[in-house]
Amino acid sequence: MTPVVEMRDVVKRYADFSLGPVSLSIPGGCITGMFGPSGSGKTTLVKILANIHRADSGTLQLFGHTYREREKEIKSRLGYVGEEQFFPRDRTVGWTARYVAAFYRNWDWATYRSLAARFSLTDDKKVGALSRGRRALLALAIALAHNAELLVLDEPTAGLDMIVRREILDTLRDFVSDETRAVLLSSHVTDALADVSDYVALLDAGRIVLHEEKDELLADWKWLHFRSDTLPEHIAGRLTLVRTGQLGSSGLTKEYRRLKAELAEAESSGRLRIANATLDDVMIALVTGR
Amino acid sequence: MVAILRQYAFLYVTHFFTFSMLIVAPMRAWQHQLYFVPMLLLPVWVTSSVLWSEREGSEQFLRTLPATNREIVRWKFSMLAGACVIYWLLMFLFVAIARPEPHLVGVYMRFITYSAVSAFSFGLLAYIGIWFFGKNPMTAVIVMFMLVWTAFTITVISGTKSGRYQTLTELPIVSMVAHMPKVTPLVLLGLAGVAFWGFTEVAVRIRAMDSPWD
Repeated sequence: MTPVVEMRDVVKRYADFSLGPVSLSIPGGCITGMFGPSGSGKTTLVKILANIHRADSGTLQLFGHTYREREKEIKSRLGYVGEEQFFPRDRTVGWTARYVAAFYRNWDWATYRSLAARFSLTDDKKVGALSRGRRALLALAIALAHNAELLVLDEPTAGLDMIVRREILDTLRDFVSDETRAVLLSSHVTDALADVSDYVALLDAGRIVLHEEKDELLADWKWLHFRSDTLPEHIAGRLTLVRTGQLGSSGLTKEYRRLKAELAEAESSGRLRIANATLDDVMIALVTGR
Repeated sequence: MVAILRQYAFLYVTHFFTFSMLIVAPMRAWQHQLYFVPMLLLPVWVTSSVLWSEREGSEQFLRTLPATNREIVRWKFSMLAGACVIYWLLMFLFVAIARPEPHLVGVYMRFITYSAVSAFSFGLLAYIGIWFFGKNPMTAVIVMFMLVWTAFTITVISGTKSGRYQTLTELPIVSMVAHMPKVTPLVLLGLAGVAFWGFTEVAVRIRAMDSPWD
């Protein structure tokens, strides 16, 4: 099956920042979370995907085609929810929906009306009077109403209250229940976004340092809490984020499944305790460890 | 694409009425020749409309919608051309109503035609400038242009009101235009078509380069 997004060796250079070369493949039917610290190039990458920026080199295919070949078709199959929405602030929600609807052949008013009601978006409200979160929901409603097959969301939950955040995450889950659709979301904080992600990509200093299925990733990354001299040197020496206190030491391993047998004895005797790592832990370990 | 037309038509119409409101009162008191003074303000009206149409965020908004650069350029330029043609027709109507002496008809027609063409050109350059240099630097340039052009128009009008010039045809700018080479409507249309195509190609290439506003 052709990936929804296929990015190969994409490079974008600015005076003070360089992205890439980045290669990324996003399959259908799943949510890919792209995480990384502020300034790591997430927004640049997302804007290249949405054709707001052009890459200096490399290739980008969406739905098997490049923007050069089928810009209009790709854009009509893509839903973009930026960090900041650029809807005209002096127009109403209803006007914006009607304006955007005119660009799409697959626009579905029933879907839009139902989402607008669910997101509490009233037609006569000025876009400028909406909160940042409501504007993000308006963008999401618009993206879903034109039957987008790929949703690209840049920092979709930043600064939003928990109710709006939950609305967005639930909507994304529903969206990818259709195997042909895909979501790419980017954020500098993992929080709830990590929960809904099937794949995780970590971007640091303009490079993808990790791209893996989330469950596989978290099966390998574990916290080891142990008393000094419990672990063999070759294991203890390769831990990251090591902390030592009065009760013992702890460190993060990225090879838990490979070391499992070797650690079994210490674990069963109670000298070693194993705990799940979070994506934040992985992100910090990879970024600070480079 | 009708959506773009609808949005910008609203923009030009509101600007048209704003400018009309500004000049209606003085016009009522003056000679009919001064009905052509709005033509002098046409470049200000057009460039301010362009500036407003490219206001913060509108470009990024359009870029996310399924429209190609060529379509966006074509519709924005068409809108600009349409606005100038409508204004030209309006002024043509004034000429017909004012019934000037036969020898002045040609002068008036050339004046309104060249004014419309220059306004259209200024509008195109404003669009291309914004897409090439970015909104912020071009805002300063366009605002400066509007101020200078308005000052120029006021100077011209003052000359007429103070009695230095009795009629429109005596104004230096009109006199200068009247002595410009005559161009047949067919050639003029051809030139306009070539200019439209040329500017469109340039604009499409500029827009295909990376956006400078981030």
